[in-house]
Amino acid sequence: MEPVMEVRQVAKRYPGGRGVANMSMQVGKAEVWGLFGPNGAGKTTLLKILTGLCHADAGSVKLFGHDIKGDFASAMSRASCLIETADAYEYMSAERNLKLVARFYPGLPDGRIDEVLELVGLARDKRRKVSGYSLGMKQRLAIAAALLARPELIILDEPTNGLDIEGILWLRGLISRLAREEGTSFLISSHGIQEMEQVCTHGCIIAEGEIIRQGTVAELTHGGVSLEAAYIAAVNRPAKGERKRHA
Amino acid sequence: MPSYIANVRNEIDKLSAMRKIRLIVLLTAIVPVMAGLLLGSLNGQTGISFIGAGGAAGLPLLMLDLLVLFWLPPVLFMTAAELFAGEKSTRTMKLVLTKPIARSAVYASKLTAIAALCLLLLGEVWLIAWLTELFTGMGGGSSALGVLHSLGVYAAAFVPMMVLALIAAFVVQWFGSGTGAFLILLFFYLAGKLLPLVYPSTSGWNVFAQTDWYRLWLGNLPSLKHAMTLFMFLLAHGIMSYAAGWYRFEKQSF
Repeated sequence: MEPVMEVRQVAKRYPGGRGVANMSMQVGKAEVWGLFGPNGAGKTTLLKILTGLCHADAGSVKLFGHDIKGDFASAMSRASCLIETADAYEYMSAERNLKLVARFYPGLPDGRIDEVLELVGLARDKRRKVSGYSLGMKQRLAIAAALLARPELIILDEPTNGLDIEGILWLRGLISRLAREEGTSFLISSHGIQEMEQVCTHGCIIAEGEIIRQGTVAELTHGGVSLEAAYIAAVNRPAKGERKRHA
Repeated sequence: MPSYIANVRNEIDKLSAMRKIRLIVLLTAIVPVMAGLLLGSLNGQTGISFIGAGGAAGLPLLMLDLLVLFWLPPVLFMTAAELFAGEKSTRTMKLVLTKPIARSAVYASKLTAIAALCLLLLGEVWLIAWLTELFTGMGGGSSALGVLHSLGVYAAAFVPMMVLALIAAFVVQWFGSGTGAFLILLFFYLAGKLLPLVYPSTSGWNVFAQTDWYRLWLGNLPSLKHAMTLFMFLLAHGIMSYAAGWYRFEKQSF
């Protein structure tokens, strides 16, 4: 079966020296991938490359078989994302914000906007301007926008930011349900490794701009230790320079 | 193409939801009425015909001169700054860039929305100036230009205004905030307008000095060679600005 997302040898170097290198991974249908790593490890850079917000210096990214460099519109037609912060046009209502999103997906049924607003718990506030929303409400709106077109791949960067405990539990349940019932694939970057462990089928650990470990959760944890312990063991390896010296 | 059209509608929706754009549209409607009433009363009190029948060129042309010199350029600069640099600073640019639409179509659709605003303001001023002239009895709408002729001159004014918008869209690509981009554009525009006063020879290559291109169409038969030369000059600036702005937009990280 063709992978939903295929990343090959992606590299991006910023002038300050930071960036990512040699990143390769594949996400299959209905898989929930967690992307873990310390601050500045390159998680958001990778997600921005995957969604076309920045261009890789080398390598290729294919979504549903379409290269994002050559055919971006087709690549993103079945994918959606929430990158970095939950932003929206603050001078518009939630409903109007979603109408702007809906225009890119002509086949959406009538009532889908109300359906997702209901799903994220914003139905009562749908006509209020977003400028009056709390951080959690903005996060819910961004999640609603990501869910609107029933995408087959959803890329989320710190999706629990601003959500209360109830909201985090709700999101966790939603991710599991969509993956199980609708076959939606997820790539989620998060610092909340314990909560992610409960929904992820796969994990990818990044440090210093490189993927240091990836695989199913069982492979990462060796069937015993927690994902958090596996993560700490992986990122606390000797630094790159030291690793070379040891080698 | 469908995604381009979708985003043109989105950009127009966004502009129409912005309070400052609504205020601009309102002020643009009020000024011709106020000017018409003021100049009409001066006609009556002094006996000198400033506008209307027998006047120099009528209210629509007077308003067009003011619009093109003082009002439309800053409005277009502000809109371009808002739709590009402004959306970068509010991080809302990524909302459209992560949708199934090519960046080239995003760039084109934003400029189409700016063009639509420019046409709206030109059309609004033309219609209100003409109606003001008609209803205040200042020549009964028979200004020196005539209705269709004045409409044609307004259409001609769209060309240099759109070139300014394309230049603005190119310049704002280097800015991360709408305000900074707007101020620098305003500075360039004022410098471009004032430069020929100090160095008259600069008006030959200075695109800002050619924004009154529509004045060539005031006579019945403009010099075709002169009109074409200036049109090609404006077109060349427009094409270069569009290509350079688009290239920069394509290469940026958000």
